[in-house]
Amino acid sequence: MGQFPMRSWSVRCPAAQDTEALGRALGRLLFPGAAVALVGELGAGKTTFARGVLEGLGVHGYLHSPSFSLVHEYPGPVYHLDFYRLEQPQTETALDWEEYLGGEGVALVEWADRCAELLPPRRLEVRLEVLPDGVRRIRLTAHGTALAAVVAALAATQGEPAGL
Amino acid sequence: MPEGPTGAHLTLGIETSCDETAAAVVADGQRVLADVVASQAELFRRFGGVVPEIASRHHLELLLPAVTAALERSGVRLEAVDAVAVTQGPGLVGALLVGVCTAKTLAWALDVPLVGVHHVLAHIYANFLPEAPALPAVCLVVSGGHTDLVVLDAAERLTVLGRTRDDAAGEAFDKLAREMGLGYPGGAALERLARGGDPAAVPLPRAWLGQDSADFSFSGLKTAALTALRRGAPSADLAAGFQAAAVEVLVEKTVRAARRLGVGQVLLAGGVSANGALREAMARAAAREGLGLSFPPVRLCTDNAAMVACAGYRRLERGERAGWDLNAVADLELT
Repeated sequence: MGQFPMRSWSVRCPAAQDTEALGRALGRLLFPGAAVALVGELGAGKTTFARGVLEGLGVHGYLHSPSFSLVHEYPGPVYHLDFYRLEQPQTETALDWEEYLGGEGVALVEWADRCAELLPPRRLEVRLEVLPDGVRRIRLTAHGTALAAVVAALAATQGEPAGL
Repeated sequence: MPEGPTGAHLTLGIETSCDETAAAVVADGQRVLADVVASQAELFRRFGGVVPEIASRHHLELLLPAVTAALERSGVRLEAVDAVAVTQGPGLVGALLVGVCTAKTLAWALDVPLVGVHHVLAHIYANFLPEAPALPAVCLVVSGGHTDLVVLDAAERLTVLGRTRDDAAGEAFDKLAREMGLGYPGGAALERLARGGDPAAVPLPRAWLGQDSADFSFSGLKTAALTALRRGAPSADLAAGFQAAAVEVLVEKTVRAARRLGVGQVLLAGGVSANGALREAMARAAAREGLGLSFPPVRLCTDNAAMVACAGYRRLERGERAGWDLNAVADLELT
């Protein structure tokens, strides 16, 4: 990437509640059309983080992993997508995914790296990493001015300056 | 073509919510005359994963042949069909629409009632083939996409007691199996591997979520199992330990709900209800508690249209007829 302003910030989340709370804080800051790409190994906390984001966006009710169904739609619209079951480049289906990833809704994508070519260039990447002591390190990298501002605001709500 | 069974009420069922294209003919809501499932699993094996747009297109290509095959196998003329039932949601909207549009068109052309059913409700009704179980019943629906604990009362009204807060049980099985190199979906392979393992050798956590909670969580168990895998736990023991942990929570929460509500019957449904360890543990617990237990034949545990026809028939009996404006709903509520 590099054609858009970038901004990165990382934070440590000792427990699942911290991961979810960070997601909730992010959800409150997202705007229609924002795409959030979640990347991390199995068990890193992608669904936990996504649940927080959904709650922060005001989505309530039955929130769960979309791995099997591929897409969960919520009012807003908010799309919770999951590329876990997708393996191939999805070139044939680009139009299909554009409805979710390029439109008016907020899109959260788990396992985003499995089909990175589907992601819009302006997006917020969230990398979740499990440290040896079980703590999650969550690194947010914004591509694009609007999302860079979101990351700066998020860092501020967490009491930290967002480093570049 | 031979005449269909005379006098019987014939429901045509249609299911296209996910990977399977299915059509079935069910007589009087209980006798399966034909049950055709055209799976796309083979197709997706070639692609190495699901391709949603291709899935919709293939539902479109496979559905009418599946309906024709179901009618031929049951010896029923299309004109003899008395009602059309279709899965309305939840699922991929493009996939659902193929089924809903086809069902609407057929019902309209035949001038017969149309009914839309919830996919999870349809799974529960697999227990009504060929004979309805005692009601009220606590139903555990476990599959790759769902883990729901519900109660179906004597009037067949459904109340959700609890659901998964993260992974579905089948999803956790499949994901662990993939990490263990058992392929995807590998839930069944994991069950086979578990038979040779010691379930106590690798201790894994159970997520109870509070004493009275009927909700489930499998992501903590999944993560703990992955950690054990990376630390070199013997795979048969790990599979056995994982399965034992998942099954224990599923069984205990179901039995507790039945006890709390004073309900005497338990129904298992969904793809994971084909799991032998779950069936065995549920049967033991039901016997211990004096509960009746029913589960569908293995063939009707996974997605099929016979369960859709049965659910639709029972709903029509209760006056739940859909209008011609019936639409596919990707996030259809379970009620």
